Amino acid sequence: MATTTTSAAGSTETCDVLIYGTGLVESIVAAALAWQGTNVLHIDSNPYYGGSWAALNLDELKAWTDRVNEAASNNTPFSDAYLYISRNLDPRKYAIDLSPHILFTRSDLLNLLIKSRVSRYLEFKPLGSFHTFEQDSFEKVPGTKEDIFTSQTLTLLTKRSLMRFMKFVLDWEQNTTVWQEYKDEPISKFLEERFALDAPQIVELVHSIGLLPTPKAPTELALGAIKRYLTSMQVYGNFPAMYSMYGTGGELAQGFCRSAAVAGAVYRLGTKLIGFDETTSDAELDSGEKIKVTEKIISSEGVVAGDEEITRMVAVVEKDCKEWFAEGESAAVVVFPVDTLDGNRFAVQVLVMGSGSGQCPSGQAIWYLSTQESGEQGRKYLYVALEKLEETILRESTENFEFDVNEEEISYLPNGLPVISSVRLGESLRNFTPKESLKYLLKLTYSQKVTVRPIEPTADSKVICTIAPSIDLAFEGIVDQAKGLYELVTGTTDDFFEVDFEDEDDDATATAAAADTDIRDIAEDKEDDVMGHHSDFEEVAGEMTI
Amino acid sequence: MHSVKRERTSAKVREEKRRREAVKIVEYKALVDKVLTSRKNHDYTPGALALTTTLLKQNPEYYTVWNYRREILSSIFQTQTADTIQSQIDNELQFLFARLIEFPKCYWIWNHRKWCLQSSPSPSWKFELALVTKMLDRDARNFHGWHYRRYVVQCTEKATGKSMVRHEFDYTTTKINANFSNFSAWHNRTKLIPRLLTEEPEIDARKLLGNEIYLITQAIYTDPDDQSVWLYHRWLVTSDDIVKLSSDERKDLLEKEIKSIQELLEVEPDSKWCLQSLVVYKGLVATLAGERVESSVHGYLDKLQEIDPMRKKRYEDWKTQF
Amino acid sequence: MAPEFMREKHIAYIQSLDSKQDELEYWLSEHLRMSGIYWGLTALNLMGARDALPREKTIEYVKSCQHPNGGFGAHPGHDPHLLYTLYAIQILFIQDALDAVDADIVAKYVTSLQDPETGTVRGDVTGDEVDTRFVYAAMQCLSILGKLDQFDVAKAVEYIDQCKNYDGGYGLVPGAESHAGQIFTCLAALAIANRLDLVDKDLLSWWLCERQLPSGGLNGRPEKLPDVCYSWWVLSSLAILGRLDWIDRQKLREFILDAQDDEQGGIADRKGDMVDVFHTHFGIAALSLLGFENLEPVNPVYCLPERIMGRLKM
Repeated sequence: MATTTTSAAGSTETCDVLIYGTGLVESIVAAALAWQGTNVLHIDSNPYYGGSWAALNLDELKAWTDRVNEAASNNTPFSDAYLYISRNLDPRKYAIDLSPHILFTRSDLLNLLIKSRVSRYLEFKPLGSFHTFEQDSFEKVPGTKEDIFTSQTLTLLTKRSLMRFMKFVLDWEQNTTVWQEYKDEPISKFLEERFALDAPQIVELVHSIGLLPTPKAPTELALGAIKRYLTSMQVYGNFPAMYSMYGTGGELAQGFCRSAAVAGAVYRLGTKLIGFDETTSDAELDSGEKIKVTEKIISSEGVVAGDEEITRMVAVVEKDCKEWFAEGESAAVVVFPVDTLDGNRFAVQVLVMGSGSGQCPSGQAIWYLSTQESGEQGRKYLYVALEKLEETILRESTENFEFDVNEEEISYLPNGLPVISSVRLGESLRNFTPKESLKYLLKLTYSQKVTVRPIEPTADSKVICTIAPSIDLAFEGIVDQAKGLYELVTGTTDDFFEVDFEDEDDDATATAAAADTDIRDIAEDKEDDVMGHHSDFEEVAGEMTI
Repeated sequence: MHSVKRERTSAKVREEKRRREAVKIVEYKALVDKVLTSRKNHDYTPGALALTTTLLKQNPEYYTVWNYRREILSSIFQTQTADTIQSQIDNELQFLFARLIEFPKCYWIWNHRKWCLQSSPSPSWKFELALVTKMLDRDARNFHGWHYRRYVVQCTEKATGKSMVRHEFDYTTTKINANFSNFSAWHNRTKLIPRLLTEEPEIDARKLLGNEIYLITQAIYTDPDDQSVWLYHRWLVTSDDIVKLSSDERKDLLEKEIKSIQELLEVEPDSKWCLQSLVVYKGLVATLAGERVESSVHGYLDKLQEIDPMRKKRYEDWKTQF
Repeated sequence: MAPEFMREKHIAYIQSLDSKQDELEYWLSEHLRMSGIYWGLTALNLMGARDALPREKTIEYVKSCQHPNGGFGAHPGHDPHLLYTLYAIQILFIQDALDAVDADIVAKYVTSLQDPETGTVRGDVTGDEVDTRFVYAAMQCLSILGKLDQFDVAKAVEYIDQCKNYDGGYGLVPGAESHAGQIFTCLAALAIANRLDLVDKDLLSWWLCERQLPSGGLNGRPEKLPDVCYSWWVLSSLAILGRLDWIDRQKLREFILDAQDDEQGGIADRKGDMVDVFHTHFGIAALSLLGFENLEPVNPVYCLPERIMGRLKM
């Protein structure tokens, strides 16, 4: 077991690696190093885990806002925070995620969570609702062959084109002849010219499936993003992504810290690093202690000068928003494509978290909005998106909703199903005036710097800086970054999380357990529920086997 | 054995395996000996039953032991009340369920389950239906599962006196919507539709046919490489089992479908199933009209020989028909 | 390039089967002994090595598996079943030793398994599992014994006809989906009964030839993996229908040859997998039917060496 040692002199401790900040990347590194026997001292100036990835209760959020607005001492990637909180909110009932992310089921981060067994500390929930804002309403995107097959709105030829593209994209890396010449060209150009896809399909693929900020994203990058979504479907069920209860980034970070502690790393929250002497390798903490660091310091605070700035908004609303969630789920993604909000150059992505996520009390929901547009412009578009969200939820959740539809505007599919022209529908809905207004319990806007530069150590320094959370709604490149840091410390990635957890994995009991669960399921299915036989994801979440 | 990878092992590893198995072999043979001796001695006690349980867990293909197990149970049942028999059978069904999870394609396990239900004072067909639904969720192509499902449905219908054809038809719809590459589900539909039309004469058969064609067309356009959907399409379009159409009506239907497939062929010029279907349908149209087949058919067959060379001779033979 | 046919290795492999007594699998598969001998013996015969297994011993072994009711079990001590009865009779037929058993009581056992109302056949006296495989087994067995007249062939044919599906294929009972194994047994039974007129030849041949996948191997039904055993069932079905050339013979041959084990001999379900005598038999039978490797001809209806068919009592 690795521990810090106290020298004979009494006041100087030693460690191999000092990690400053408990953000996600550095927490992974802490655990990886600790499991390989490195003496790790992991500190964070905040009284909570997660750093810029954390989910804060309202008291912490207020303190954070103040700190972030204090330009002089602000060493976070955040700035320009404006916070409004309604009175009478119980601060501890909220977990506001500073950098909301979702986890795709096919991702190296998920693989690492399982391999490291940190997944056992977490409670995951499914996220299968991805909507695109089109024609004044949220359209759910078709993400599987079955969605396309059963869709009542796509034409036959569109179905064919989409399927042809989907088949290609699942193996796109091998089919270089198809996309090579479009490598750096906009994905929209590629989709239109190579696959004859129409605008609505392109918008959905780019924005809700690829989660890309604009259709101008380069083809090579975009194909990877689109494939990520499609291959993530059906891994655990009819959803491509998941999130963790109580705020994903922070929970994952904390999970890795816990793992690191089990492996012997030492933790100190509320502790600042105030100086480092390169010649003596002494690090000075705000408690007055000096720590001798034999290998490296990994720091997530202070040095990161961001290249790009994004804008975020958080709104807590007094609506459960269940209309947007799939059955059994408590979250959704809504994307406003470019040019749908009076000329936005970048998409606005919204992550809707219901109370089932543990981030707010029941009857409420949190809307996390973000866009790549910065400053005033960014905020402007977020407010427009906010209005649209408000309109939509009021319309969809209101009970006394009636609108006029002419018999002539309804056409019938061969199988008898009525279809209303969506343009006409959009018009009618635009004229709808809600009887009630939406109550906002909290509103927060802020800017966030995101780096695009890779991590490099400064030439002979022992200090390596990590980088802040990225623009992506999904966790992208986290494991690579962690491995990169790990390599800068140890010189290799071969033993990264190669851990023998030395306990039983009895296959027979696992099978028997599975059989027992199935039997109980069947016994409880007293209704002849043949049609809606839906396996409860909760069964799977506890034993995350792949 | 199916799908078991061959391993190139060293002599050392093989020797290790031999040593490990030597113990298991002795144990197994001893167990078999005990079971067979028990049977010879007409031992039908619970102790004997337990022996067969151990053996069958290890080797469910040992059909003779299933026979012996049934002998034991039959003997035990003779002295028991209906309630006790029922609970004994419920235990048996649980035991079988765990076996099925491990060996979903073993005939003997399914057979024994059927025997249990037949011997049961009050079998729960509802439970059996839920069980087989679950098995088919795990593997929608397991024909043992579908076979068992038909058996359960038959027994349920006998027990309740009510037809389940509508229920089963809807089940195939669910399965197809979840994954239309399901040859087993489409096949079942071909058996259920004629029954449905017979039992519910108020159904408009033409409308149903129209719906089915709409449905299968969605599938064809979504995945033209899937054989099962084309086979189903052919049945819909050519069979008299759904609606008995007149010559002219049949011709019209065929021509409508030909047009639809030709549109697909335009965007998928190398789709062999499009081409084959067009040959079949155009051939039928020509026969119905009493005319020679269109020359385009020869073009299709030439194209087929080009894109599907493995079946060249088949297309050559086909050509001679026209 | 596919490897060549490893005749010597396969002969050695079949001969070695009974010596693997230090493997647990040997003991776990005791219920396959009778079948294993039939598969091994047929394969050896097709390879022109009919004496590679000791004739007297196999005859004695078969006799030791017979029960008083006339049926045969898989191994001494195993209960009688129609399938093993068929294998037993086939083995004796190959060894030209049918006189080693009383044909009458065997025939009595087999015919007792036919349901007089439906014409279908059960697998054994104690159960009521019916399957078109059993109709074929009964008919072939009785045909070899020269006692087919004791069986209600017409009713059996009616039953098989009810198993016909929309794709021209046949399932295990009426209503069951088409499967290459069942198609073979139904076609072979109809061939024995001389009622191939009931088959939709064109439709079924089409379904069958579509079993060939780009790898050259054949699968048993749509969207399934190719397997050497289907090489036989699909191929013999096509042969019975006279459409053997509707598949690419060379590619199928390569698929089968690729599935050989170049170290210990034998053939597996596909390349890279473990071999067994079941797939060895079907692989060799298929190669014979295809006309390759200088093998002796095989009868597609009976899956027995064509050479002995002349002895069939008509």
